Amino acid sequence: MSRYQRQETLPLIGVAGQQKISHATVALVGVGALGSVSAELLARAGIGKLLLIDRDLVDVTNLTRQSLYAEEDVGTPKAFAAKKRIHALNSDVQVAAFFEDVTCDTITSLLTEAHIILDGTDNMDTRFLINDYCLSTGKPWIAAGAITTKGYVLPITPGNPCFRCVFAENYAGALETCDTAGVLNTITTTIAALQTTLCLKLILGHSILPQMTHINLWNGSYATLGITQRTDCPACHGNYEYITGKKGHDTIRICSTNTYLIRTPLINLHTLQHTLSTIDTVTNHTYYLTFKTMTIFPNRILIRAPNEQEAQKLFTTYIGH
Amino acid sequence: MHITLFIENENKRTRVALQSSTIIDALDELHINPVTIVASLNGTIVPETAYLHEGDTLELFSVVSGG
Repeated sequence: MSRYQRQETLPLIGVAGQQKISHATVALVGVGALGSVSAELLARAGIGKLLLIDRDLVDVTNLTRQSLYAEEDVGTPKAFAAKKRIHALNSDVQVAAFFEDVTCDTITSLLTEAHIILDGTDNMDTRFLINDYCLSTGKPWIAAGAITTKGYVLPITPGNPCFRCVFAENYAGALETCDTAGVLNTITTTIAALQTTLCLKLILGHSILPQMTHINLWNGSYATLGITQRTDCPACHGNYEYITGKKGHDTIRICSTNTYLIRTPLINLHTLQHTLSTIDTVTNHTYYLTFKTMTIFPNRILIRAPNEQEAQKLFTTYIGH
Repeated sequence: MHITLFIENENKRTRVALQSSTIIDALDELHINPVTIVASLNGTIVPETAYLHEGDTLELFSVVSGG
């Protein structure tokens, strides 16, 4: 009997639909609370290939909700830990894991192979960047977000209003984050399940409405909201400000930990380890160095600090540019 | 002008009297930071420059960034 018999029995999928699923490639930009659940569901559903992209390491605070990870994964790049777990769940699924930051310089090479992109990010700048990429290439993507007990899913498909039609800009410092406001694992799982359902509908060729679904599990509220195209939306008029690098921040606060990411030119880890070792203990973890509150990768640094100014100060003091 | 106002963050739906004729002015009148919300007018998300009319339903949803 087919492993996917329960899905093939669904008239909405059938044997032909299962074939479509097995030939689809889906990218997950971020495999945190949303991305790890969506990746697991797609893998169990028999997706052809997953592209898992994440710049972060598994933290012990992730384990309440990020279903692909276990205690033994703490300190490991999320993309690599996710790939290992998915292979154990369904070895038929091809997985490419990228321990990378999605930027205007990397997005095209990372997402070229993807038919559909799922949003598992924790910041608006990366979403605006994905929006530019998808509009310019004609690919669908499914935006999503969750915090406290609420969240939303917003599919963006060609010819319909885009993410930038719905969300304004300049949110820096104004929005709640998981580390300050908290998050319930049932809302991230619910939002990821809805995101995955819409992804499967797209793969199967079913129509999906261009609308935002907003859910607050604690209050029991569920709203579907229509979206409209902004007449002054730059992205809808072909002005892709994020993918061309005209907009976007160099310093990004990482959700779920009081950590800041600073992008850097290429760093020679061996040379830097030698320099920093004259100041304090430096540990080499093969893919990265740890020094004081910093995790140093070849093209970015994660700095644990109480605020952005302190993070910048540590960066300037020890890295020096 | 009277509208129905739903503030998702407070899970509160009330009927309010407003002096303002646009959403952005109404947010100022209601002391709500426009940066942190998405406004839905009668079930559709619209720019905050949209005009309000008697009997409208204005729903304010928090912008959610976490993932």
